[in-house]
Amino acid sequence: MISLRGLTKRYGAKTVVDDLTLDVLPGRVTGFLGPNGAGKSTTMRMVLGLDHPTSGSALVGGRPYAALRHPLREVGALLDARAVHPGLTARTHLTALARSNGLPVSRVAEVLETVGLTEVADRRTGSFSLGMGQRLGIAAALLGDPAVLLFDEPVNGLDPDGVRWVRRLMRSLAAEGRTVFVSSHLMSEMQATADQLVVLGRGRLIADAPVAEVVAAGSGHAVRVRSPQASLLGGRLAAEGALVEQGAADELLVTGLSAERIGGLAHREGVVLHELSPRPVSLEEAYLELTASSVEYSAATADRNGTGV
Amino acid sequence: MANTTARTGTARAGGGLPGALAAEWTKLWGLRSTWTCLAAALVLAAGTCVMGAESILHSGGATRIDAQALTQMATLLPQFALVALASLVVTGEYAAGAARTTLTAVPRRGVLLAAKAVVTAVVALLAGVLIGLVSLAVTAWYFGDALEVSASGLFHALLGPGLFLAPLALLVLGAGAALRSTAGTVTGAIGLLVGVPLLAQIIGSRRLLGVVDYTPTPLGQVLTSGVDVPHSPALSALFMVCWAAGGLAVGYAALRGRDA
Repeated sequence: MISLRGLTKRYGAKTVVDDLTLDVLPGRVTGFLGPNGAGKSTTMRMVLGLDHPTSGSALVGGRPYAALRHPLREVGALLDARAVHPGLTARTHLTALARSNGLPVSRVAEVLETVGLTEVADRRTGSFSLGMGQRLGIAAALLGDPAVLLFDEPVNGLDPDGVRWVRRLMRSLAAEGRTVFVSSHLMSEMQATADQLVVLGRGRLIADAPVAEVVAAGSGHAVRVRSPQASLLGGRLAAEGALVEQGAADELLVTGLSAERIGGLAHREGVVLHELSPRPVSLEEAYLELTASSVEYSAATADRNGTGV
Repeated sequence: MANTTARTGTARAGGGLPGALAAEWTKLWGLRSTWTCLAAALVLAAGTCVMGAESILHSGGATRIDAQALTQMATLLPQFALVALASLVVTGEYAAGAARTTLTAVPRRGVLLAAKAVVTAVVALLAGVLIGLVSLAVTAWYFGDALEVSASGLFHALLGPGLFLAPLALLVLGAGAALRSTAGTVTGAIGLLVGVPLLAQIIGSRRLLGVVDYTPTPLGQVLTSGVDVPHSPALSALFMVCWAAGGLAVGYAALRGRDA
């Protein structure tokens, strides 16, 4: 379990992580989402004792990371694919890590096999592709068979096969009862992988809830309506307090009213309906809505609002 | 595939400083740059000794020659190879971001720096002995019968370079941990080893030259030649240890205080 209590990081006047309090629980995949610059990586670095918090604490299994005698046996971390000396072979890199924590060197061959790097194990990592670097980072994280795993953008640079592999790996690690904390900017990825979502915006906690709840807390379900009398119906729906967007000539996108109420209203008005389909809000939309007010760059805000709900 | 279920935590021992030492040792010898630096050091030592011996021959030879006659000269160029090696032990990891991986494996900064220091000192000491052996071999080869072997001469020939290079390497290691840049660290070391003594001579201020007597270059000359000026060999070794301790202290403070 990872416990953050009032975790705060400031660089001068800029607050990167702002009073973050949350628990990342074992047995499930917790997705860590936020726009660029939201403070995800800084949070992970503080959990790993790499950056010092300005105030607050980050504990792993109840202890600060630096107090762990064999940290790799308790926490595995993939921070970035380039955190390897380019002059070392993959095998030497992992062997050094194993020795540092008193792990059997036989583990090196095992994790190389797990991530599919056995054939390139004796190549210097400087010649690795980004995807191979990610796999090597994942191998290092798995080396000590830890109960807590942190992955910062693990699917970066992976091909579709690799992405599916990482997804299955996360699921199976969580199924084994481990704590899995994964940051990503790919909402779709999180929808497929995560059970719990922690959403960060400008260093602040915006949401910490099950995926389904975050999606439901989005702007509500939108309903697509097609009718030859679209404009007439649109006026009536708006009068009922719904948010109506005109799509194509005969198409409306309605938020704030259920499909049942829209259907009933159309019936009373004698409006012919060609389509009435509830469209679940994707995690992507829910997330954009959550973070719209907290994105770092206003250009991005304008862009996102432009895609509208 | 994702077979990570096999719990490997049977042996709870290991890790700590011995683990960190084993890891640093593994990484050091896994890098091509280590072998390049050591090979360069030995080639430079041999080359300089041969030139030195030739020069003595051409100036009329010698009837008696000490065991450490060429050792000071032999250490002159290889010291820069050792500076590069010591710097890379820490700055090589910062260049690639590998320092973060290292620190997640060994989060205690003191343990990490101690491990790096021991590994670096051992390699520098060994390199020093090899450089000494090269200088002795070249001396024996050129001057055979004229070679005068004394305990003191052998001591300075075989151990002098190492007693100079090991603390120098630790000073550079500490500076590297503070500066985190290979170029900056190596340039700084060259400035201290060559620039400062040269500048003091150009300026010619007696006070400045007095200060320079405490910098590594004259201390190394004492240790590799056995002369008593400006300090005795024992005192020179002590001052070198002070440089090493100072460098490591600065490096430790930086490692501890700054974000990785």
